[in-house]
Amino acid sequence: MKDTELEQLWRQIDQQLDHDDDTDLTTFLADQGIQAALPESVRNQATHLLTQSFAQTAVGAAEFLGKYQIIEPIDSGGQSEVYLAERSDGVYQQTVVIKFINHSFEATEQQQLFLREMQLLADLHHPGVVTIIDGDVTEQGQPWLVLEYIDGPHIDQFCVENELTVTAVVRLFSLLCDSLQFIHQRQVLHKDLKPSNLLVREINGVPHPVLIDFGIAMNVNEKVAMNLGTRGFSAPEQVAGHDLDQRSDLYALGVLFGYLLLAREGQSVTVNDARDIHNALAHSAVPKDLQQMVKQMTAPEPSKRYLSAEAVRSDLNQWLLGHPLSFDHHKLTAVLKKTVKRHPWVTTAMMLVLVLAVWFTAKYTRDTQQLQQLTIAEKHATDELMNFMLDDLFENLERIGRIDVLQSVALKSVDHLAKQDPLTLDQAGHFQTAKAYINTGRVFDHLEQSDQAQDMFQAANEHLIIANQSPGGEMKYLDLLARLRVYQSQVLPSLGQEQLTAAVLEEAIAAMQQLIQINPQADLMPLWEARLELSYHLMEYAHEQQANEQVKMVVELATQQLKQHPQNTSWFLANSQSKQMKAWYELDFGDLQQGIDDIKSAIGFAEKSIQLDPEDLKKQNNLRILYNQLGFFYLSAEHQDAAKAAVMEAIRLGDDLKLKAPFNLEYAREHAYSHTTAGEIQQAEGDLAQALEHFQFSLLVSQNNHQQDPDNYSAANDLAVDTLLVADLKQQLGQQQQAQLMFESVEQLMQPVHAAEPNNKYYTHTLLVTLLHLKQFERAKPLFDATVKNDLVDYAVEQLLVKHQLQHWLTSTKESVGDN
Amino acid sequence: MDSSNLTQFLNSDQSALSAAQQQDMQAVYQRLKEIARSQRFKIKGSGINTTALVNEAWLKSQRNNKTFNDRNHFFAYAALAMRHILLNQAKKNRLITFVDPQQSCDQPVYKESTYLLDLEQQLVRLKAFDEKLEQVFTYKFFGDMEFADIAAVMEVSERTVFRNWKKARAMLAVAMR
Repeated sequence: MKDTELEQLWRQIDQQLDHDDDTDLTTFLADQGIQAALPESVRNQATHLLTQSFAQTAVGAAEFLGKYQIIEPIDSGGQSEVYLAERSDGVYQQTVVIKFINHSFEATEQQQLFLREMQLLADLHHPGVVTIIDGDVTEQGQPWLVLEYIDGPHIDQFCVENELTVTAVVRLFSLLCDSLQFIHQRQVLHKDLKPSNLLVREINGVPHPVLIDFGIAMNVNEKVAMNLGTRGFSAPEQVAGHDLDQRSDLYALGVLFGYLLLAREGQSVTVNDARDIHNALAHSAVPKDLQQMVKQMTAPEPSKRYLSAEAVRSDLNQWLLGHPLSFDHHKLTAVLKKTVKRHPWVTTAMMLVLVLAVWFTAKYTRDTQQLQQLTIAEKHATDELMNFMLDDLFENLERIGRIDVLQSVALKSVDHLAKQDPLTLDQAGHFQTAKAYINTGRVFDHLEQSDQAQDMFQAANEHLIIANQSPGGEMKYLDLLARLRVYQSQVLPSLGQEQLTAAVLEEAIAAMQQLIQINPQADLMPLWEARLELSYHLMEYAHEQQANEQVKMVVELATQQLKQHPQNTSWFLANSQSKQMKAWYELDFGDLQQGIDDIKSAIGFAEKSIQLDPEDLKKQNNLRILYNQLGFFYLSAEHQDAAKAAVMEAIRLGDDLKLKAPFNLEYAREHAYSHTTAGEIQQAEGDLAQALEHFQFSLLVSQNNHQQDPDNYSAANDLAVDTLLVADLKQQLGQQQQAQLMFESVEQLMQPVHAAEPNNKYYTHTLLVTLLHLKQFERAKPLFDATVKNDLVDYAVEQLLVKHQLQHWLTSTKESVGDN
Repeated sequence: MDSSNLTQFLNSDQSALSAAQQQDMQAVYQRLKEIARSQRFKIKGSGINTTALVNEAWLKSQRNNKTFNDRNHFFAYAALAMRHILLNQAKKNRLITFVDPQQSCDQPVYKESTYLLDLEQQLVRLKAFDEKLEQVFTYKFFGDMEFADIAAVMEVSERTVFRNWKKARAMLAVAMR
């Protein structure tokens, strides 16, 4: 019924009852030809609802919507109702936002239009655009949407709370322009840009604005004047109900920009009109160039505004670089061009003036053109950066032992990759992206950020799967897949690691076998790596027999490949590493002397590989590790002299490496290890002064490592262990006071570490030794009991017990363990 | 809550409650729910008796903290709360039918929800037409108040209240056809 009709009826009822308040309603309505049920009481007309509201104990039942469970209302009233909800159908867990638009569509045509527009939005994949997960129109014509939940503040809140600088706001805005350009290119307008429609979420520590609440459904029903946007933010043409294009969004963007720049200065402007912003800006400290940009974005005439979000972004970046902005030169050149066009008959004099004017502006114009090219270059910079990383930066930096510098590159790359629209990638693009993710993952792995590495590898996997859906890339697919699986095997979570690792490596091997079938000439390095990893894995979990088979295959493969590629340094290195691995196998399950021979053989291969490629530090580090290992093996075989010689060689190589790559933490740790071993040998020989020198060197390294990463418990433990070694020696040398101070410092270092991770057996052990040194036996006892359970009571602990006449601890614990 | 505050609250727009008022509502709701779940109100097929419920709430509020010093005002407030609570519940129910069409709309509770949402829409219209009619209707329909009590709250004659109740019912009935 139309409003006017109803009102007329109501007035009639009103008059009738004023006239005679005894009127019988049913009769009266029947006389009017109306049949209607009179509302009586909520008790009678909503019995079940009342019961449900008040008497049902199970709250959840009412709030369970099939797939989604409502958590709480976020926003209600106005044009929609918004609820926070959780997907809970057992498929997977996800927090979402459910939005009901308070407007029903009567005609199917309108519903179709709404759904089509939703599809358009659902196709927009961009980190700066909220993702639509689900949605439909109900049978009653009510539209509803399920949206991704963005856990972040509104953009104005974000700017104020984080006290953003002008530069930071400009950066944030530059990202927003990216998102806007992205949707505009896909013919979508937002139509309601304002602070409450922009959330900020952090991706890898970088804040990204996210567009929410598109003006969908609002423009589909022209009759309901709903596409007016928001007062003050909407462009004049939008308020007037005229046709809109992307420049209408730019107008709102300009108002928003001004609003945020003012907000960060503590000015909260009530925006009724863009002029409110202009006036406030004029009296603010906001840089003049930015004020000018706001003005240009919010010009009442669309034709006077920027053309696109991309153009705004370009100017923002120019501003960040301190270069002149677009409008600074447009005017002059435009005027000149127009003059010449309009007056082809310009007089010589005028020509002269013009030529002079042109000459004066020429240099300037050339500069700006150069700058424009710079901007384009900057746009592609991220792509290039990524490609550079792909091609050889990683390998080259690995060669000089400086993968650490790749952290920022990796983060940028992730940032860039996250923004890619997977729909725009072709097969080569997917391979490229997969490779980028793989390399990024390797960097994270190297930086011991396993979680992130896992995420990267997972992303790489997804791109590989998509790439393999198109024909023709099978070889590349298998090769990359095998490599990916090998890298993945190194960052698996500790939970279920044993099975997972084996499975992943088997997949790598299977992929390689498939690849060899197709291409017998394929590079077999990934196969060798997979088998090497698998061997170590089998050894770690003491699968002796399987490990033995794998080890044989690894050595065989490396030998055979070296025969085929006699000048290939990588296969020399592979042979060296194969022998090294075999040596560990011999140590654990076979013959120690055979192990020593294997290491010597490994050293031979390593030296050859260095001869062929003297620049590669990775290979030199490998050689040093081999000497360390040789020392360890000789010690196990009780060849003290041979061990000493090996370790000294390791120290010599380490000193060399330290000069070449002073910042490599991994190298430093390995170097410290050489010194510790040397110190232990010399301590056993009774040369305490020499031993002290070596221990102190290790201590220096672990101090440095701890300082660089003070929250890393493992680094703290290394430091504690080295300090204990030095303190113990000092005690033996009669420097009691110094030793005491060092023990106390270790206790202070390890107490919080142990408190944070009471179940870590190594930390427990370290603290136990410390407390025994400090003669705090009561506190030491429970730690000792734990250490017994952990089977970590070593010579050092036993010695300390003997020293403090606590041998009965050993026997009593054994008894109680025996009783159990 | 003193009398003037309350009157102001009773007159304020239901759809635009402030955060504090929302919280008040929530507290009332919790209280009513507790009472409803107590032994005396275990429902046995007959449904909840709103009058008894509100009466009980009034007695309790008298015993514990005398936030309301006037029984009629308390009832008026409770009627508003009831309207608010049921509306919220109805909205939630509607969500279920939207997202999960399998949840058949034939169930009485969903039918009632649709009815109530529809009624709410018309009440907003009615308020625009004549605020007094909407008020009387809310007190009577949702709060089950006696005409005499409504008359006392609204400071008009009982007869006027009765007439307005009839008007409102008729108007809403035709609007909701």
